[in-house]
Amino acid sequence: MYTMSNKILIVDDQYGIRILLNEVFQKEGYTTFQAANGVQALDIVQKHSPDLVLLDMKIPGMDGIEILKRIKAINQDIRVIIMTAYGELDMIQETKELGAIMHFAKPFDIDELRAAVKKHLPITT
Amino acid sequence: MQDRLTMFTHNNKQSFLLTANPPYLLRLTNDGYITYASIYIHELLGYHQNEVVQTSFKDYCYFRDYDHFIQKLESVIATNEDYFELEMRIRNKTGKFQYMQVAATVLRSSFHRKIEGILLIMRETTVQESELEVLYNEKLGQYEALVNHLLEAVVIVCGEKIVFANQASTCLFKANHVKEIIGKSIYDFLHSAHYEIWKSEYMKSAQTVGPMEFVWKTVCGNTFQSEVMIIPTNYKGEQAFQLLIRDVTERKKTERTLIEAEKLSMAGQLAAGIAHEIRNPLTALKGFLQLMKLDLKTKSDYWDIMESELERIETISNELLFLAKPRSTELKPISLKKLIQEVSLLLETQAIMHNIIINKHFPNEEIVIYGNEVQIKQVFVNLIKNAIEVMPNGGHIFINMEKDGGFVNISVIDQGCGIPEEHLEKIGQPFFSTKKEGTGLGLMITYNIVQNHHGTISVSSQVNVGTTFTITLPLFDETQYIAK
Repeated sequence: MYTMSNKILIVDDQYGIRILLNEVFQKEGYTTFQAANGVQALDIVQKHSPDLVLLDMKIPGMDGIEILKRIKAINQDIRVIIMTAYGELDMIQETKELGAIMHFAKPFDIDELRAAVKKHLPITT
Repeated sequence: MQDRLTMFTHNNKQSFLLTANPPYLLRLTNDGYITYASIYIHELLGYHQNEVVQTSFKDYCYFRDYDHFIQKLESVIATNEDYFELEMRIRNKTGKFQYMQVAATVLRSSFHRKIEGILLIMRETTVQESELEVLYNEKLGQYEALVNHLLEAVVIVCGEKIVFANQASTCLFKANHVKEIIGKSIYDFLHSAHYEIWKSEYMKSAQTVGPMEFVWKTVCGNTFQSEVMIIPTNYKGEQAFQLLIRDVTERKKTERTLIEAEKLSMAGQLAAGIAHEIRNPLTALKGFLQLMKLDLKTKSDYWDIMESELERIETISNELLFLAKPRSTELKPISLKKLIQEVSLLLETQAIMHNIIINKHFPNEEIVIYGNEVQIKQVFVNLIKNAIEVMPNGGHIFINMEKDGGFVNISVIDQGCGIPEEHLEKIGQPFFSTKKEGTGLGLMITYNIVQNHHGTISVSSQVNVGTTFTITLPLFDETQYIAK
């Protein structure tokens, strides 16, 4: 059966991280999209309506908070997991209030991230 | 004559004549000739009474003062008055002018108030003080009060001898009395580094120089930094120098602290930036490594080596992040005695391995500070670890704690190799280390944490004797805590 809810959008300005996450989640069977900045990210959200977004906070131009707000404005149901380089407590708190479900501090363990994504977006085949 | 005088004194309210004793009297004709001089005039001016009679009063007066006298006389006559006072310079028998207070009364006849002459009563102003003298004394008084109450030290140096010192200089030189300064040589106080320049330049200067930075020694031999103005002046006819000395030790200290704080905050920002940049590529590297391990299933040691190297990078970036603003805002009252006890217990195994004994001297009372427990622990771990590392051949480490007003001082004293003076000021700077394995971050983190807790660190060291780090932290103030 073709799955309807397995789309993940990866938003990070760092190429290596995008490729890594792409690799990890494709292997898991998810459909992945990548965006290097806010404009690309919102474009993909509009066109492909991902189920879950892995969102880096420190992105040049439109920052993570702003992207998060806009994604939620487009579709309140999109689940967002944020990624930070270090624990900026205030910012993390703010993203929670804006509807982010959880956060990962870089460098994260990909097994943990994988498990978290699976929990929030079970693959339905 | 006597009648006239009585009448005069009755008529005039303001009169020093009453006190003019003996009466130095002169009577003048309308055109200024002396017709009478009291016998006492000899005492006053050295002239015999007969000697001056028939001579003109003008001849005894300093010309400007005589003009002044005539002007006043004319104006008094014009307004139909008959009394005025004036200060004049009168020439005595030796030819010198002498200041005199002169009271002049226009003598008039009972009928028609016809002018019959002028009566002069004189008084030495050496007793009374001349106007100039009054002014001078006033100025002198002001000057003295000013100099003595000035917060800056003022000393006058004549030759090499200090001939004057104001009150403030006793504070500056830590003397109990100005007597401990006056009479001494300037070289007793001036730092020897300035002897040459003092002799060769400043002592010959004809102009005010400064402000210059000088180091001085106090009575007890301590040194302090100052700014000095050197003002050439005279002292009893000899060339002298007035020195204005301002203690700038505190200011220098504040400046240094500010620079240090600035450096630390810069380093903090830099560290956070670097850490951030390191963490991103690290995420990718670690992630791929994890993936490859799974995929290739090759049992290679290389993966583990690469992983441990990446761990190392991660540790360093964690340490760097410590420098940024405290991430955790979890602040609470901390029992310092308990905390240090725990830390020293933690490091005891390491100490014993190096044959080091940790001695603790704590006060009996409870010492409570307010802050981040993890970070404060980090401070003492760093300091005690450093102390252990500089004593490879064993010895004693002393941890002394004492209350000092609203603060607590904790000293960590080692018996290590010490830090040479030229390195002392670099302590706490980023990436400065004297240890082979040191990253130069530990003490910097320590400084940063202490600073964030509104405390200070001072370090003193003697090569081959040891080093003392003293941390001063504000004690926990319960009243303020509740207010928050």
